[in-house]
Amino acid sequence: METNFEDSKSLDEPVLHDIAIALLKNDYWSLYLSPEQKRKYISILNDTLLWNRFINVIEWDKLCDEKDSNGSNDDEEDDLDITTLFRCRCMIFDAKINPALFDLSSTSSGSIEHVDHQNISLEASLAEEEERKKGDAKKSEATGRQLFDDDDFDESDAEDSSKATITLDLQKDKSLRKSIIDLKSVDIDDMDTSGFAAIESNKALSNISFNYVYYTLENDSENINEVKKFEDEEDTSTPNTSSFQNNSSSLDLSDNLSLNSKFGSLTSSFKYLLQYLEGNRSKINATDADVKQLLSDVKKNKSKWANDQRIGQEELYEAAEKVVLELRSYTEHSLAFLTKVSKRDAPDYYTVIKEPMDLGTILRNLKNLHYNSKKEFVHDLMLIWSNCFLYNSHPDHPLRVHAQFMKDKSLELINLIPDIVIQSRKDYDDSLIEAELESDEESTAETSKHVTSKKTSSRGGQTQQAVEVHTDANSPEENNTPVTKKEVETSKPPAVSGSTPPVNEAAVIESSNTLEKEPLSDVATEYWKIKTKDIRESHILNNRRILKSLQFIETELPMIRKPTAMSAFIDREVAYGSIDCLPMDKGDFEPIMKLDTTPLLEYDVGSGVPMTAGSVLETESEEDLYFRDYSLFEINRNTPGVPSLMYKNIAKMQEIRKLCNKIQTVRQLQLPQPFYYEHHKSHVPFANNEPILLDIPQNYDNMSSFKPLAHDVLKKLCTIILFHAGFESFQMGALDALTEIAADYMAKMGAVMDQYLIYGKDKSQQEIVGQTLGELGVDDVNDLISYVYHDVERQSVKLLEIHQRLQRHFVELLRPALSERNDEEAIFNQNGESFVTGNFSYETGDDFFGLRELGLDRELGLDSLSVPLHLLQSRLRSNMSWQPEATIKGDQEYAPPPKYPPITAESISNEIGLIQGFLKKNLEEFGLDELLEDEDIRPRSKPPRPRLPPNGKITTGRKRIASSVFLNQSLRKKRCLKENEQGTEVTTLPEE
Amino acid sequence: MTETGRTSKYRVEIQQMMFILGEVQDPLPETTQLVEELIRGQVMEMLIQANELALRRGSRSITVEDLFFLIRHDRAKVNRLKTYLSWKEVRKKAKEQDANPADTKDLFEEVDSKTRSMNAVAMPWEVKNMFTEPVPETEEFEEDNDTMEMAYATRQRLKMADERTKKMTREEYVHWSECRQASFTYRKGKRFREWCGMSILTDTRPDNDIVDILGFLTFEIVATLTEEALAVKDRMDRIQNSSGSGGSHAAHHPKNCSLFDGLTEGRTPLQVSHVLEAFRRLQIPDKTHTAMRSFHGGLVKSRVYLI
Repeated sequence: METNFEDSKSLDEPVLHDIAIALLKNDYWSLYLSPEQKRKYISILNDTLLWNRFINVIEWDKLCDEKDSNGSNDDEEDDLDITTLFRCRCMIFDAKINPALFDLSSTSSGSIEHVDHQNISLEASLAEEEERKKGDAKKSEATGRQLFDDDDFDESDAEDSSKATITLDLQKDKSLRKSIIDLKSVDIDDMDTSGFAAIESNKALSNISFNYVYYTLENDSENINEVKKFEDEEDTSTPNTSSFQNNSSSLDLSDNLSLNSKFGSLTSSFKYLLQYLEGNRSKINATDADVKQLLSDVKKNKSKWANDQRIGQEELYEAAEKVVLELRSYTEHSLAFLTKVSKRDAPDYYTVIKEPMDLGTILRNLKNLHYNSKKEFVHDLMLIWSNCFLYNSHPDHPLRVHAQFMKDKSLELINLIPDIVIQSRKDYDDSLIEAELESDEESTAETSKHVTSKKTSSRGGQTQQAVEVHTDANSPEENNTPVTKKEVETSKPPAVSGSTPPVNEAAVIESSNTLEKEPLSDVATEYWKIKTKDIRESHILNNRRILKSLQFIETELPMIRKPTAMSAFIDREVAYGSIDCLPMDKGDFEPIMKLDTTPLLEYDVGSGVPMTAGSVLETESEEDLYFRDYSLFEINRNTPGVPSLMYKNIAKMQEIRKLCNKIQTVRQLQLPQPFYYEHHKSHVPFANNEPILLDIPQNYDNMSSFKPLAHDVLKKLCTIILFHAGFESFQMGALDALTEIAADYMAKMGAVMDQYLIYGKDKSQQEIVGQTLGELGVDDVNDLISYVYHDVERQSVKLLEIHQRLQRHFVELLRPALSERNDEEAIFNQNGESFVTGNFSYETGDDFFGLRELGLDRELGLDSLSVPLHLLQSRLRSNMSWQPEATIKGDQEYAPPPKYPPITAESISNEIGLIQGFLKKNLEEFGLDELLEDEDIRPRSKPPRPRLPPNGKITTGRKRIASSVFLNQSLRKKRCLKENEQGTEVTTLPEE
Repeated sequence: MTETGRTSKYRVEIQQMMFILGEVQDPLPETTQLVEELIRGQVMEMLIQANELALRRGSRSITVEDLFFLIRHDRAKVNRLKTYLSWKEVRKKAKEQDANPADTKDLFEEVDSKTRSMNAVAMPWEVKNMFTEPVPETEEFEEDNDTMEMAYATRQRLKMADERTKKMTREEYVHWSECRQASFTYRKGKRFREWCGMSILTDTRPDNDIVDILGFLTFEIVATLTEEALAVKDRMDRIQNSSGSGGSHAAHHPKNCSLFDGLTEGRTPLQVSHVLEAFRRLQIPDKTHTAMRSFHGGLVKSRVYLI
C-alpha cells in the first residue's frame, strides 16, 4: 500500500480520483462506508486540497490532527475519521488493484448534485424498505413509524455535527458492519432484515464477478444449519403472516399483535397445527382467545417449570434439567457423582469439602426452584467436578478421569442453556418500560439490533436455541415482527415469551461483541458466499451422506473423474491464468473477462478431490465424446463368468491356508521345541475383495489413450490367474513379464484374426474364430471348455473337499478325546484312553489319581479332573506354563511379586562385575535386545516318554543343538546368580 | 534307418508289442527297426529332459516326479503310469508273500491300500498339494474324474484286445498272452540302460524304479506310434481303394513280396512309410509353441516332441 501510494503521488492521483468518483456513482461505496462516512468521502472528493492530503498521507496520526483542526473537535469524531479515511482508501485501492471486482464501466466526472441525488434516493429507498417491513407487521402504526423515520433521517442529513447524530451514525456503522457479517453468514434473504445498507451492498455486489479466487468449503458446515432452519421457517412463515392478516380484521390491535407475536414464538413447534387451524379458521367457530388457549394448553414447554410469576424460569429450568439428565446418563462416568458422598465411604470427605454437591442435589434444587440464573446453576454443576479434583488430588486417581470427562461434557452442554436471569413479574414490568425507551431509538436506524432482539423473543419458547442467536443468521420471516414486537411489549406484556428483555440485552451485547471480533472479510468472498450458498449446502450434505454411509460405500456408485469435467477444469485454469494481467492504465475499468461459469466450478475437480456425482455442469468438448461410450464393467465375485469363479476359488484357498496356519500353530504348540511367541505369524497377502473396474469402449477411435488402462486390466487378470494357480505371492517383475506375454499373445491373436477376416470373407465367424484359435495353439474349442471345467470348476469342488477335510482334521487335533461316553463298555472300547486321562475315575466317583485328595480340583478350579489327552501326549510341562494360567489367576491370594527387570545392554552395568562380561557375550551372541528369563522361554523339555525307535534299541539320548543348550544353561546360571545376589558369589552350575 | 552295423536289441519285444497293439503278428523287420530307433530317440530325449529338470531342482538324480512332469500334458498317461506303479508295488508285495505263502488272502487288501498310497505321489500341480499342510486322506475322495479318464483309454485298448482274441485258438491265445508280457525292462534292466545310453545321459545312475517307469513309458510310446501308424495306414488304404482298387494294390504290396511271407491274418503289415508318416504327424510342432512367433518370422526350432 505504501509503495503504491508513493507511486501514485504524481501519476495516479487523478486516476485514483476517477476511481473514487466512479465508486461513488456505482454505489460500491455502500460496501465499505456508512452514509455518514460517505458524506465525508464526498467532501474529500470535492476538496482538492483535502484529497491530496488524503491520498498523500504518510502518518495517520498527523492526518488525524489535521482533521481535528479542520472541523470536528470531539473524540468520537476523531475515531470516526480514522475509520472513514481508512475505509475510503481501502475502497479506492481495492478498486485499483482489482478492477474486475467492480464494474466501473460508466465513469464520468463526478458531480455533487448527482451524488446528493443518489443520497436522497437512497434515503427514499430506505424509507420504503422500512415501510415495507412495518407494513408486513403492522399497518396502522407503519405510517407513524415512517414519518418518524423520515424525520430522523432528515435530521441526520441536516445536522452532521450534532452529537446525537454521531451516535446514530456509529450505530449505522455498526449496522453496516453487521450487515456484512450477515452476508457472510450467507442468507440471501438477510438483505431485507439487515436494512438498507444490505440492500445497497447487495445491489452493488450483484455486479461483482468473483471467480478470481478459489474458495474452500471449510466454513460451509454452518450453512447447513442455517439453510435447514431457513427452510423450516419458510414453512411457518406462511401461516404466520396469514394468521396475522386474518386476525387483524376481527380483533383489536393489541390483541392481534400479541397473538401474532405469540404465534411467532409458537410456530416453530406448532407449525403444522397452526397451519391447519388457520386454513380452517372459517369453519371452526373459535375466537382468537380460544386458539391461544388451545395452543398454550398443547404447548409442550408449558410443562412443569412454567410459572407466570417467574419470568424465564421455564426456559432456564427446562434446559438445566436436560443438561443434568444428560450428564446423568453417562453412567460409566457419572456413577460417582449421582448422589452425595457418604461418610462411610470417605470419612474425611466433609472436612475437606466444605460445599458438597452432586447431580442429585442439583436436581432437587431445580425442583425446589433454587436457581435464579444460569450462573448459579453452572456454579453448582462445576462445583461437583472441582470437589472431585480437590478431594482426589492424586493425579492417578481413577475418579479424576471420570470427573474430567464429566466436566468436559458439562462445559459442552451448558452452552445450550440460555443465559437467563429469572425475574419476578414486577422487575420485569419495570424493565419493559426501559425497553420501550430504547426501542424508540433503535428502531430508527439500528436494524441488526432489531433482528437479534426479535429473534430472541421469537425463539423464546425454544430455550435450547436461544443462545445461538448471535451466531445464527437472521431468518426472513422473523422480519415480520421485529419492530412491532417492542411496542407490543410496551402496551401489553406477552404471556408466552416473557423472557425477552434480559435475553435481548444479552444478545445485543453478544452481537456487538461478535461485531468487534469478526474481521471484515473480502467483499468478493462475501458475495461468493451468498451466491453459492445453496450449492455449497447441497455439496456438503452430499458429502456427509457419503461419509456417513462409508461402510456401505461398496454399494455406492464410484466417483469417476470424467474427462469432460477434467478438461473443463483445465479450461478454467487457463481462464484464471489470464485474468490477473489486466491493463491498469486505462481510465475505464472494464473487466477483461467475465467468467460465465457457475460459481462452484472449483468444487468439481479442484484440488484433486473427485467429483461428486450429479453436481457438475458438464460442458463436453468434442474430443471427449468417445469417452462417453464407455460402459463400466466390474469384475468381482458376483459377476458371472470365469473370473468370478476364480475369485471364489481364491477365497477358498485363502480359507484353507488360514486353516493350515492354524494347524501348524497347534502342531508347534504341541512340539517340545523352545520358541518365542512371535515365532509363528500367519500372513495372507492377497486381498481378493478389490474389484476390477473395466472401462470397455464401444468406440475404438483412439486406441492409444486406451492402452494403459487395458494393460492394467490385463495385469489384474494375470494376478487373478496367478493366485488361482496357487501362488501366495509373487514378484512384480514376474507379473509384468506375464502380462507382457499375455498382451503379446492377445495382440497376435488379434492380428491373425484380422488376416483371416481379410482373406476369408466367405467363411462364417465361427470358422474364423476356430481357425484363429487353432493357429494359436488351441486345437479345439473344447479345449477351452475343458479348461474351464477342469481347472476352474473342478478345482472349486476339490478345494471345498480339502477344506472340509482339513477342518475335520483341525477339530480332531484340538480335541482329541472329545467323545465322552458314560457307560463303561464304551470307555473300555476306547482303548482305555479314559483311564489314561483320569476321566474314568471321575465318572465312577473314585479318586483314581488322588488328585481330589490333594485338593487339586479346588485349587485349579476345575470341574473335571480329566487331563486333556493332547496335553498328556505333548509334554504337560511345556503347556502348563501358559494354558492353565487363566484358571489359576483368579484364585491367587496375593499379587505375584514384580518381575525382575530384563537384562539389557544398559542394565548390565548394574549386575555383579563377575558376570557382566558373560552377560554381554550372551547378548551379542543371541542378538536379542534383552536376555530372557527362564520362565519366558519355552523350556526345551526332554522326550516326554521313553520312545523306542523301530529297531528296538535304546539310544543314548538325543543330539542337541549346541547353541540352544548353551542358551538354556547360561540363562540358568544367570538366574542362579541373581537369586544368590545377596549372599556369596555362587559359581557352581546347577545340574540341569 | 536300416543300419546294418547296429544290431537291434529289442526286435522281439517291439514285435510283440506291435502285435498286441493291432499290428500283424510278424511286422516287417524294417518297421520294427525303425520303431526301435524312434523310441530310442524318444527315451534318450526323455532322459535328457528329466536330467535337466533334476538339475534345475538342484538334484543330480532323476526322481519319479521328474518323469511325471515330462508327461504332465497327457492326463490319461499320467494316470496310467500311476496305476502301473501301484501294480508294481503289488507285484513286489506279492513276491514277498510268495516267500511265505501263508497269507495270500490279504493280497487284495494290500492291493487296495497300495493303490491308494501310490496315488499319493506328490504332483505339485495338484490342488491338494498346493497347501503347506498335507491333506488327510479319506475314502470318498478317491473317486475322481482323472481315474475315469484313464479308464476310458485303457478300456479302449482292452476292448480292442478283446475283439482280437475272440476268435483265437488256444495256442494263438497263449502266444498272445506271452506277447502281452513283453517289456523293455522286466528282467532286462541292464540291457535297457545300455540301449538308451543312460550312463552317458544322466549324472547319477537312476535306480530301478526309474528304469521301470522308463520302460513303461517306452511301451506307451510304442503304443502311440503303432496306433498312429495304423491309423495312417488305414487312411492310406482307403484313399487307394477309393481311387482305384486294382492297380493301387500293387503299389502297396512291393513286387518282391513272395508267397512265402509269413501269415498276415489277411492284412498287410505296417510299412516303413506308415511309421514315418505317423512319427511325422506326432512330431508336428505344436502351434502353441509357435504362436508367439507368428509375425516375427524365423525358423522355429523345437525339440523332439515327446510322444
